[in-house]
Amino acid sequence: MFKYILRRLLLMIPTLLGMTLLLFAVVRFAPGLTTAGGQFAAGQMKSRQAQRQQEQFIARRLHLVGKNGRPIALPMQYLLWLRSTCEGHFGTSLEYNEPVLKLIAQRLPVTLTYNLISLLLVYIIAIPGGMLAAVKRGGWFDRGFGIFTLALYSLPVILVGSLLLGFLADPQYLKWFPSAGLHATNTQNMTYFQYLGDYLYHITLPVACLTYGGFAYLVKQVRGSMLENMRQDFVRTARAKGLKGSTVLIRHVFRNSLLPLITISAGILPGLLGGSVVVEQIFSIKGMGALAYSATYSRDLPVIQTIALIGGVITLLSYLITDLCYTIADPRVSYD
Amino acid sequence: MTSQPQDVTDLAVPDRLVGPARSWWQIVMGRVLTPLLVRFAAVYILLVALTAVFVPFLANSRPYTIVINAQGGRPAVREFPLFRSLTRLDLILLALFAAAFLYSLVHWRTRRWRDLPRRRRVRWRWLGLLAALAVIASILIAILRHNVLDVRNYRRLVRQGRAGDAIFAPIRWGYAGMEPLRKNLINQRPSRAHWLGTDGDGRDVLSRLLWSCRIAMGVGFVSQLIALSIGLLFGSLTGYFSGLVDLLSMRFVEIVESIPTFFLILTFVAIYGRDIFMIMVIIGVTGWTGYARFIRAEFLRIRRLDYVAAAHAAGLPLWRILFRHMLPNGLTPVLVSASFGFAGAVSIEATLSFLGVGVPPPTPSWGNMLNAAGNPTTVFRWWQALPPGLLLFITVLAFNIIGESLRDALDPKLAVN
Amino acid sequence: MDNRFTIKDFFFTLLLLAVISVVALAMGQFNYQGRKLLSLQRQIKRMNELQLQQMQLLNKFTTGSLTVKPAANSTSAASAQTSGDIRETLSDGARYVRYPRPPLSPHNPYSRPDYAPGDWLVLNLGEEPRKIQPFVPQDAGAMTVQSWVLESLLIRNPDTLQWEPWLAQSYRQSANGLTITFKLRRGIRFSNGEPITARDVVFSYDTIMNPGVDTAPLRTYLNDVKSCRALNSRTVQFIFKRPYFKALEEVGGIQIIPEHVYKFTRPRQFNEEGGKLVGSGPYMLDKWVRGQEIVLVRNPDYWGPHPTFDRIVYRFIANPQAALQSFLAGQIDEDGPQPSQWVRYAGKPGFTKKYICYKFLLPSSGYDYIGWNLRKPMFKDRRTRTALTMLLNRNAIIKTFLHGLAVQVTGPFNPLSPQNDPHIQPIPYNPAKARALLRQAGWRKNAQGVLERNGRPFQFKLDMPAKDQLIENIASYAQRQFARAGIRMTLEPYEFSVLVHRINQRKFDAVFLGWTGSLEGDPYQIWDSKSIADKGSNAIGFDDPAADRLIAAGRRELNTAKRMKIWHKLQRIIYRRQPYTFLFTPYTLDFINHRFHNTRPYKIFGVNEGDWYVPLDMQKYH
Repeated sequence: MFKYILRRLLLMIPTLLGMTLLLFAVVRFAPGLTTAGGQFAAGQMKSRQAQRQQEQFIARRLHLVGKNGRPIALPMQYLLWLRSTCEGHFGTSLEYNEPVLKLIAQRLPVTLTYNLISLLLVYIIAIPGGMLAAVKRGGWFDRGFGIFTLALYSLPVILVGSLLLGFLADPQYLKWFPSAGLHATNTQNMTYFQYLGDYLYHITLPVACLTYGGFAYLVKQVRGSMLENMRQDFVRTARAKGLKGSTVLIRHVFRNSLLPLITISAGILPGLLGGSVVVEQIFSIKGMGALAYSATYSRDLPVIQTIALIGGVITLLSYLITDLCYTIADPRVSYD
Repeated sequence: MTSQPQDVTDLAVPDRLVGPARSWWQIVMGRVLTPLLVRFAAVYILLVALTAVFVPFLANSRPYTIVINAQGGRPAVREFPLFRSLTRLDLILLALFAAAFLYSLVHWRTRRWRDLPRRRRVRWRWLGLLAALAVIASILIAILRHNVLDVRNYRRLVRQGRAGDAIFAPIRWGYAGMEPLRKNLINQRPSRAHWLGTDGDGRDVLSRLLWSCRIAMGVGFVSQLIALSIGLLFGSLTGYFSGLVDLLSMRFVEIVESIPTFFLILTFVAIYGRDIFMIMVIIGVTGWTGYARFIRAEFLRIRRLDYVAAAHAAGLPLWRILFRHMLPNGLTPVLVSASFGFAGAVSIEATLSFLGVGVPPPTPSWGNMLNAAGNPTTVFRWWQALPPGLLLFITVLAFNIIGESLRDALDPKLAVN
Repeated sequence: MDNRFTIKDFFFTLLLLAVISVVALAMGQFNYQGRKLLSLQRQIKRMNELQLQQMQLLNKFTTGSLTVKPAANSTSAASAQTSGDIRETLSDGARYVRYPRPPLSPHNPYSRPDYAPGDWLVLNLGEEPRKIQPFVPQDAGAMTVQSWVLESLLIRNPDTLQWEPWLAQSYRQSANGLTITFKLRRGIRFSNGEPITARDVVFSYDTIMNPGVDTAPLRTYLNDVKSCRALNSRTVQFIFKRPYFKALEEVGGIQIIPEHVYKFTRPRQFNEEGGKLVGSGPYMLDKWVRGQEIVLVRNPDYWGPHPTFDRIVYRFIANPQAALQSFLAGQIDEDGPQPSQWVRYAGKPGFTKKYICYKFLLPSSGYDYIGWNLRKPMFKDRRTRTALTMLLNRNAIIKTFLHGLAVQVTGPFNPLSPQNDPHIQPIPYNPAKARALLRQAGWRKNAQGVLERNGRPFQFKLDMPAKDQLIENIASYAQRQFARAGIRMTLEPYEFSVLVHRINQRKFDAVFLGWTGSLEGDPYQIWDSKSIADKGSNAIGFDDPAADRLIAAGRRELNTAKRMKIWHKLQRIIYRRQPYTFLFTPYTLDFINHRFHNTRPYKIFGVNEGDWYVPLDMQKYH
């Protein structure tokens, strides 16, 4: 077991190296590399000297030129970047002039909180839903439910977000929910529970947007894995023993279907970043998604590289965790 | 003793089983297409695809034909403005469509042939011929055809009586045609002149809706073609060779997969531009890993089969073994993934356009139409938001339905009786 | 079997999760209360300090060491007479200006019968500033916040537009305009109590000019300064290399920061610091809660006129819909609505009764234009460019896309600025005449219906910033209009930094952009032929010897009236040559909560929040 983990970890090293190389390549061949940074407010341009100094400044920061102003060779640039990354220096954002890590530390909790809430919701409603669909398989209910979940799964977030925002958060129609942000503007006069309630009120629509897709996906998984287990011999044995249907279902079938479902969550986590880009854009939330989006848009290269790198590492780790979960959960799976 | 069975076999085998020979593929398709919903989805997709090809004939400000009245010494002339102003892309699409249509005719005519090898040979021959023709035609069109800029206001000509006998397309607006710049003409609600109203530039929403089918289908098709070819090449090589090649290339697949896809696409678009073809390529280049994994798994399985060993023993060249013998058998599961991939590409393009980094204006896309309707700097106009949103939703849904049923059909384990 | 995950385990996990979340909630609450307590403690501490100061003041007052200033209950013109203000030209031709007391703003509220200090002013900043550090930030939000905290030597009178001494008591500009000497006021202090000396002025100047400090845009304006010296603790002298009409404005407008606070050894240190803001202004930075708000509090011992508000709070609501909703809910006190929002609300009597609505032009709002790259053969001809302008109905653009809330511009100067010649009329919208002009210029339609000259079709790309609905609408309209005349234009949206890169590389055919404005801009950067080379702002390559001569003359001319004549001539040349198609400058729109009084905007400067107050019975926050 330990050997397996060790081997997986060792295999991750070349993968990580390759990833850094790929990221480096994608970013380095961008035209107008040094014109990066959000220092240009829309519609304004700076004077000539200012621009030149700005470009030199960025070039130094990205290790394009050395301290003496001489250009550095491409492989050396990569090595320099790699070294500082390995040392934990992810660089300074060109747009915010602040360490990238600090920016991410500010934004990550925001995104993580409402994403976790949505994940929790997904599990809470998807598991009973999937069980129901599995029990009533083959009937009209199952078919209708299948179409319903497929439709939910196919609903584009941009449509749902726009409609929710347009119909439920616009004084023109119904003003039930706030249209932007995570807090009201007058939070300092609130007690803690008012504050919490206000937060929940604000995240209702974004969480709804994030939840329905995950729900549809998970319901399918629950149903599939339940059905798979229902066909197993041990279920037949249990039934033959004369156990009650519900007992068989819950104690035997569900219990065995549970673990694969939990391991799925490890796979869901990395995908949250992409989803939150759209949701945060629609609901004007300042989280990781918004940071990632604005960084790509204003070519804040250090931020782009760091976010992609962190996303990649999380994904790789989640693969590892998934595999490990399987080995622990299912003695039939062996890794040698 | 009237009708005595003449042969024992007549009795034993019911009629439908002796019918024309059915390939495994036909059986699969039959199983897939049985449910009503799937048929609906297939018909819908076909309709959208047809719209994508024929949209110049459906929504255009130029009439099919018109007679310009005699004026100032010039005699009256009959003109065909719509046909004259078909663009290069329109013509190429029509050529490709014609080839596809002819091939499907061939396919249809040969469906009852019992001699399977001959049927396959004939079909391949026709496929090759038509594909070559289509490619040649496209190249010729691309070289010889110049796009015509015709912005004469034919509707006004007819209204003023300076032209007559005109036959217009069902929708008399192109995607970029605008009402005059007046406040009551932009952002109109649905009316008789504009069945779905107009947008912020005074353009007909319905016309733009139909024209966006082209973007959606084009992005889905081209990007998946790119993804499929990269995935096929990568997957088949990896699956066949295994060992070190496998190890290395799977690391590479893992690398590409581990970077959040949507973020990668955003970065690519921000860095390398947002031309529509660029977006197709980017979606294709970032979306091939699934195919590669599938094909690799299939090839690992097929490699051990006897007929591959036999092909080896016969001394066939490698590419022939890979692509003629192994690939066709490993292809079917990929179709499932292609169907989902198509849906994904359509929705990624819409999302990019929604975020304002998709296709450049004035090209319509369901995403940028949705954005224009619900932009926070304007008021929400549901009559502009709903049609593109619903069309996008139904398209994605249709592809998912087909993918789902394909998977059910191919996976006997999941086929619940 | 005992290794399996049983249903009991499942419920146990659930229970565990529940316990964890309860603990997390409780911790959150403690944390929240703790923070509240801390801020309360801070407030109490400050109140104690204030009380102490009051006692001291009272002491001084009773012992007679302090005299009360006479109430400033007259207009600035009147007070200028009574207060002994001097504006004169000395015998050697130098200009000498001396204000013994800091000038009150023309609309100052202090003499209003219901004037009362107190209450908060809650404003919306839109985007959250990237960082707050003197001189370094480039975003408008940070500058707005800093303008309450940092002060400069001179201040512009919003009515007369003259520069009046503020931190300086007097200044003297030599006859040739090359030497400017400032004398600081007595008794001026930073908010931490330290006096402001000439050294601080020199330090501020040196910081800006330090090549390692990230202040390049500011630096370019001061490039003409030869030296800056402190003559004694209260006197600073700037010497210029050559006469420049903006000299006084540029050095007088430098924000003064305390040396003892900002002193740095490595420039990087100054660049990357942030969140610390100390100046001499009426308000001080209290706290900056990231993602939520910036709070400024009254500087308790401000050296100048008593600031009105207890606090100024800035919130960050970038989404215009949300901003308006917050405004309507009373959560922010001022909102700059979009044109569509303005037309929806501002006309309604129910709304105007509850809220104050202003609509005015600001010189700083700049103008939008389409620039033609004059190096391209197709744009070389003046008639072609004029025809392109004539093809666009700019009035209709303003009426439909901007709901009439903008004004056409005829040249590079703001319609409000004295630089602008009001006699020049916009080029009219006239497609027929445009076609005739194009014909004159040699364009003929070819078989494809596209204009052609010398076998080259009239087709080009318009580079434009992406993600802007308004620009997209206008560009689409222009595309349509040009197509009607047989010109094929494709739209190419780019994200802004790429657009800038393309402009710097001169890679574009035509570009849709905007320039920010100022009351009197220096045309050198954009219109002089020397700004063409090496990524200068004259990206389109406008090269006109007559214009160059006028620009050089104008920059040297210190006499305002004469200078304006020169600018008017320049404007005429630019107008005739039409290197840009000039579009419009938008109105600034403003909704203000009705509890504020004295909000009347200045003619050119717009609203000045510093003049506002809330009568005692209407105050909302305490």
